[in-house]
Amino acid sequence: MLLRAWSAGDATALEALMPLVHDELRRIARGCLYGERANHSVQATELVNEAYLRLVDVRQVDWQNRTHFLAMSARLMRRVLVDLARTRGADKRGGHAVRVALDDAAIGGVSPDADVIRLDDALQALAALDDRKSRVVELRFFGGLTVDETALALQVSSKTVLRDWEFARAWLQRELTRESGRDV
Amino acid sequence: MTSERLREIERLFHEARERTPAERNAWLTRACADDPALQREVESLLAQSRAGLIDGPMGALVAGLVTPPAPRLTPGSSVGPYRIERLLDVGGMGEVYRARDTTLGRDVAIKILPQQFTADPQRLARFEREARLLATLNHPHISAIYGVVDADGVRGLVLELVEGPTLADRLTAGPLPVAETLRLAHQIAEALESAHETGVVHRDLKPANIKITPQGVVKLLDFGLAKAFGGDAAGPEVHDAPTITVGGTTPGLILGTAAYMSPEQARGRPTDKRADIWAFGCVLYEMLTGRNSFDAGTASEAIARILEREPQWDALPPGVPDAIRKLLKRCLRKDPSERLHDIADARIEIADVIASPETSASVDHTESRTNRRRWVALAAGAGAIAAGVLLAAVWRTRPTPSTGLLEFRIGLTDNAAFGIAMSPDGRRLALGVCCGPGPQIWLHSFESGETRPLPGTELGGAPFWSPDGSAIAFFTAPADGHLKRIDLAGGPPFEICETRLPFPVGSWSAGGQILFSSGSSIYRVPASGGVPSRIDLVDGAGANAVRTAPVFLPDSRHFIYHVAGSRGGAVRGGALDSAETKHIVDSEYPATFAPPSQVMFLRGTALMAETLDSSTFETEGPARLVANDVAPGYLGALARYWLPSASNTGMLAFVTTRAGSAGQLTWFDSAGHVSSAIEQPQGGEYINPAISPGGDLVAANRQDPQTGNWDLWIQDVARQVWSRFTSDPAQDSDAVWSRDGKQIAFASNRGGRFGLYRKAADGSGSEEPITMFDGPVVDLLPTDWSVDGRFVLYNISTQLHPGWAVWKAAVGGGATPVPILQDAFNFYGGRLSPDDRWIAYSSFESGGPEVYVQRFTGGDKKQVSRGGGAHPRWTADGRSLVYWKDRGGIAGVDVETAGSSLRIGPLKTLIATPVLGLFDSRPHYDARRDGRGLLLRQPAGNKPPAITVMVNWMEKWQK
Repeated sequence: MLLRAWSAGDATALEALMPLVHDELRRIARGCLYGERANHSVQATELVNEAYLRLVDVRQVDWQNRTHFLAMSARLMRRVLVDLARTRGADKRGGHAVRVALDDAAIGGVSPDADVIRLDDALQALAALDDRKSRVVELRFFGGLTVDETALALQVSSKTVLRDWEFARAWLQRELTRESGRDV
Repeated sequence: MTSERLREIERLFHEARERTPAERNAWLTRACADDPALQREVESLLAQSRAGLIDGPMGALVAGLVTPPAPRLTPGSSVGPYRIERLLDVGGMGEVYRARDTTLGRDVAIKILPQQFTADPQRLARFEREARLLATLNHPHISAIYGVVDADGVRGLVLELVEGPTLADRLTAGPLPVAETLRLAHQIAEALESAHETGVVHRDLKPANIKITPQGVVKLLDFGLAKAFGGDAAGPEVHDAPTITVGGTTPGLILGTAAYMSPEQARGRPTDKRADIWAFGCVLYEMLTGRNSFDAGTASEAIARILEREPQWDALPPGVPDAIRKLLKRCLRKDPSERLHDIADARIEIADVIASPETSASVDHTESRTNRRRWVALAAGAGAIAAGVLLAAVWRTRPTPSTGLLEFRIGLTDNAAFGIAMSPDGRRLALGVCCGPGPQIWLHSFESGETRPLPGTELGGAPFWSPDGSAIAFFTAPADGHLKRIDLAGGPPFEICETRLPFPVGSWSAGGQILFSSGSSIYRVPASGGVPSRIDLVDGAGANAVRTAPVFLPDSRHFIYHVAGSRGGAVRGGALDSAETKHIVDSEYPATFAPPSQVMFLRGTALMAETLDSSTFETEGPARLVANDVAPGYLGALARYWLPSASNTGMLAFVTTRAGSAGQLTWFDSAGHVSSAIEQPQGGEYINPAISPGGDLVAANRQDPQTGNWDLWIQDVARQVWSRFTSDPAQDSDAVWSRDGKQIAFASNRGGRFGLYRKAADGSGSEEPITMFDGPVVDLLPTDWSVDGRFVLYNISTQLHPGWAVWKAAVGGGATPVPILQDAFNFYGGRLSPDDRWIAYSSFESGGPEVYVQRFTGGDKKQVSRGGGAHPRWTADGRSLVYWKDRGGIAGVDVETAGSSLRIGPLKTLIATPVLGLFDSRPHYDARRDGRGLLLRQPAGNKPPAITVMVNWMEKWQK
């Protein structure tokens, strides 16, 4: 069994998974664009959960710990989205990491790649000040976890999660708009 | 801002929100009396609406992210000396622009390389090698490659700009006159001849790649680019086929029109210049008749026609000279060895006909059919292509006695199938496709070539057939958690029982029983539904062994299954009415049964078959090879459940891959630049590298591709020579150097017990145990050796504690191992500071992997990484930590220790390039202790797996 974990497939599992997740995201997105589905975030999350379930060796992680899974999925989702956004950004700008100027109308979907990258940056900045708040956002937004699930994953009360969420939401919102204001 | 300040802001934010908007301002002013900046901060937060980005559905964001990006370059912009004029074309191989070379004052075409290339140094290097070769092609009928451009963040190919329509454009108006056809064909042949003489094959010749200038001069486009882009220099792969693309995004897939593919390309066989000759025949035929003889609505039908059908010779117009008819037939012979060997012969033939136009134009309808094969070649329909699965397989139209072995490779794209199951009659293949609108069972018919999702099987995977082929059973993902069956005649799915454990495999007997493994036990349930009962199996492997993959034998009473315990894996035989079992063969991975009487198992990546007596479980050796490069699976944990599947009629399907070619060890210097790469061994690779303290040696794990056995090897870095360090038939792995570089500790499971061993690094002396483990060990991994040499650190995972924990074991006897870090979280990768006083390690306690440091003797921990990190390494001076960063790359931080205090400096990204295996418990990199270099395992190209379907597999086996 020692060996199984090392099969080359295992070591490359994440890399193998990434294009797969990207593809699926494209498919989900097409559904979104044509209004075929409701509740997209849950579907996207379920997908990643599913993919992750298949990815992680049952013996390496306590897979019965559902919240642990969900937390990992949230991380994976965040990473996928940021990767996707960065790739697109690089495509557009010939590899230069230039922050594009956005007007207010751009916030919330017109330039989603820039949004995702900025959200990720803002989350990292928040993590440096208050790691838990950044985790709350990651779990709830990228992971689609409920308040209670988030509380369980972080071993804090639901009330704390709610307070963190309210504050982090306002904070990030402000950071995102502030940055665009600066650039314009 | 500080954390304290943030807490203050947060406190005021929440308190202000508890007040009514009317009293809020006054309250806040009071509360922030002497700090207007604080007040502004809180007010700005309170002013945020609830309609921001993170309040919206993430799906909308995803939708925005995956819409195609706009063209990269705008008219008027410059790339080096080239001024972009306009976008000419967008294809899977990137965008093509018309541009002006301002230095030479000429117009050119620039083909921008897609991101996949520029992000992958190896692929890029290979591409540039190919491009250099292609740039040497110098012929008036070949569009020239002027060079490559790498400027302003853009990499591209600079090509001769050819004006005018393509032959495909011309053919939309119908066939060309015979005389013009011959004139154009002569030029095409000349171009091919010139290229073939220098060893270059076009590989993707088709009317869309043939330009005709206003002066009537032929120019072949994209010569050899199919290979350069398809990117695999090493021969027979699906990539060797023309790079027809779909959706404009994914290079290398055989999709869209496949109509110019040679039969050998369609089969995924190696190709040479005769593929060009075939394509030349297709083009010539199309010029004369106005249509491609093999073209069809779908790629699958086209492939079927290419492999099966003769062109409609009577569609040739009467004016076509006899010599040209003969030439066409010789170009379009399906067997490359029977085909015209040299395009020069075609050129001469055409020249002769042009020179003597009075040649008779009789029609020859007496095409010999003796060579015609009784195969119908079929490929996946559009549905499968939508699901990302490209499937091409063959099926014998009539169950005539065996007419030979036929093997067919199927390109299986990124969306790997989760389980394959051949129907008992061999007419259909059930696939667990992971990513349609969700996981689902798809059904491919070899007869119709259609592949479609099976309604009612949503969330399903790991399919298996009822013995009469009328129904399919499958497992749904844990979200639904059932074993279900669905009748192919119609009707809703039927829930047989619940099963929420992952990685299931099942088998269905003629007696109406189903056996399945789920989690790590085998269960039995009637196919008509019921409560599953766990099967007790006495096999000596103990209660903690993992038992999987039961497969019924034809008598419906006996079955085989796989058991994996600490002594390795084995295939055993059991019976429904007895707990007694019998050993059949040692095997790391589960086996399958192929009717009438063969047990099939893997030796390394070789699929072997041996005749099995299904009641005594005696095998009748020797085991014989069925196929090479067979993957135990893909996607990690799923691997061992992706079994080959055989029909009762001699059809066999299995997943092939190139084992071990997924990673590449690359040296980086301290500036983060690639300095060299380590050559990988044949059929395998070196993983988990460990650099010696002096930096002159590297130890790594290497698997023998034949036996599947892992051993440790050591490389002399300067001489680049590897030598074997251990050779025990047990699995030896994961080297850790003593700080003086004189000894190596490693893990092994020799004698059926996991243990840590040590051995002199120069290979002399014996291998001495450090400590042995008796419990149900799942995995074991030494990670460091203390400076004083007195103990080693290791990760261990057991059945009782399934996550990782960090322990230490004394070297040289006596004391029992002691846990250092162990609780509900995973702790792993412990590394000691050079004074042995601090330990850096990875933990999952925040949900994802992060690096922490704490005093070795205990105390508060300090988080080093943010947003993901694993596998820390100290530098020799103890003042820096290097670790593996989330999103790929290696990061470093400065560390300052004084007494019991610890300060961590800002994060510096050392290497931003992707590394493999973030979630892996084994590091795929190591850092030199002097900080002067890093060794990283990087993805080596894109090697998708594929399904191979063998018809009459026994013929191969019996040879």
